[in-house]
Amino acid sequence: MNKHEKIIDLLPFYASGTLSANEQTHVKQHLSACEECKAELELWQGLSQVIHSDYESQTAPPYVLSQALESIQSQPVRTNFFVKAWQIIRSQVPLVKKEIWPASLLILVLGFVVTLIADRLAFIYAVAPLVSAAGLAFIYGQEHDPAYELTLSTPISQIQILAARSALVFGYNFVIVTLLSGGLTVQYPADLVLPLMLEWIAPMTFLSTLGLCLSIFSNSGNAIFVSYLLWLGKYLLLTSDLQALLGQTGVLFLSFWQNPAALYFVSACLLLLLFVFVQRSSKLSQQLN
Amino acid sequence: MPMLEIALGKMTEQHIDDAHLLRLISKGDEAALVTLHERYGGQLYSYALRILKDHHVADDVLQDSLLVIWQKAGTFRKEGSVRAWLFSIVHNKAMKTFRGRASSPLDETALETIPSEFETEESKLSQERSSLLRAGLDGLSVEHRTVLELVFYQGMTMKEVAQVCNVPVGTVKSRLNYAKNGLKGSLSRAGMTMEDLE
Ligand SMILES: [Zn+2]
Repeated sequence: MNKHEKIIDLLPFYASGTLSANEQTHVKQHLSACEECKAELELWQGLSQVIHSDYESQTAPPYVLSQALESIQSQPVRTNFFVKAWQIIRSQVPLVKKEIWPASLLILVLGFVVTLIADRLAFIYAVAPLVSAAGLAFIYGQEHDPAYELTLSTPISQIQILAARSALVFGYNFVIVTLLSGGLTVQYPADLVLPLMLEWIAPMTFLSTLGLCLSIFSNSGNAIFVSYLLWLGKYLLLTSDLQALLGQTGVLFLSFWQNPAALYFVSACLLLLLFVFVQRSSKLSQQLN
Repeated sequence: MPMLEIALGKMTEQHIDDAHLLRLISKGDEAALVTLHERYGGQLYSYALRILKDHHVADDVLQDSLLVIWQKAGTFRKEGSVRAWLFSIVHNKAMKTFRGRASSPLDETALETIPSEFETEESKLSQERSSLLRAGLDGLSVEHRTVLELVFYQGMTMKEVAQVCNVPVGTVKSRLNYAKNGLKGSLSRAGMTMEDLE
């Protein structure tokens, strides 16, 4: 593109005075030598004059603003989904049993140490799902919520509270195990740690969901007992003659634990069931109040 | 209220820059929206009125735009110009409304161009030129006319015009070129050459 063509594009902005000082000098220089650009500039200047004389500056009628404010005030406060989710999660931090945090951390770190001492890499990944399941068995319900009555009366729905607390405790454990896994790569090759870690996420999700569900349908003690038994059963089946005794059922049971898709599917079903149950019972308690 | 507080209130209000006003709005500060409207409401309203040529419709467009500003204030990027951002919202709303109304006949009398006073002081030749340009301007499509108005009346840079119209800078250039050729055409049809303009 030659200089003339470049300048010609700038002429309207030269006429309106919005060019940078540098551009302005360039245009000025070119104008002194180019008749065509001079003529074009005249056209833009004439046009600018016409537009200025036609363009009437108006003020908006006051009711425009007042009506806009009115409809703003009548709207429910709309916040971004992520902002809202973050606010709910943050509001739940002080309401989750405080013992869960140090206890989970302690057991996981112990598991980490034992893993290193006993030189059994799988150990930590056997412990982690149990810790998460136990944590989630203690996050919801009258017996665990010091402000249960208050919780019921907040505008946040019970499902949101449940989801927020689950995400908090599950996420907390997840982050710790991920960090510990990073620590394990100092001792073990990463391509050994990574598959084990990926294998662990699905059972941890399932056991956590199960722990949460059972704690609400039944109580926390049963929740922990059943989920631990199921997890222990897996190891017993792997290591003992129990498999021969159970036959086909045992094979099925083991393949369930080794199939992430099945684990996620059952977890999703459990969560759905739980949400329907919580929704119903919170509606019921609202009607009672 | 003591005088000092009023004075301080006035001072702080002026010190709040536009981007900060948007931040306040995004946090739900209604007073900030009122201040922003005090600063730009007139310009935005006039702009909508130029596109739509109907006061009632322009009222609605500005009102809707204020709601959009209220909801989207948090999405404003610090690097951009607040004024161009505000105009882009009004532009978008006004153009949508304009296209929606295109099927129904426009009320042309609602906003007739009133010849301004200083026109009488112009020489005969430039008077003729002005009315020719005016006619040429009226013959342009609304997309081209708005670009010209943003450049010459609102004094916006090429980038800002592109932001307001939500088009690439190249499109702004080509719209200006198209408008220029259209205007040249209407002048030459009337037997005026470019030299007559000088
Ligand atoms: Zn030139």
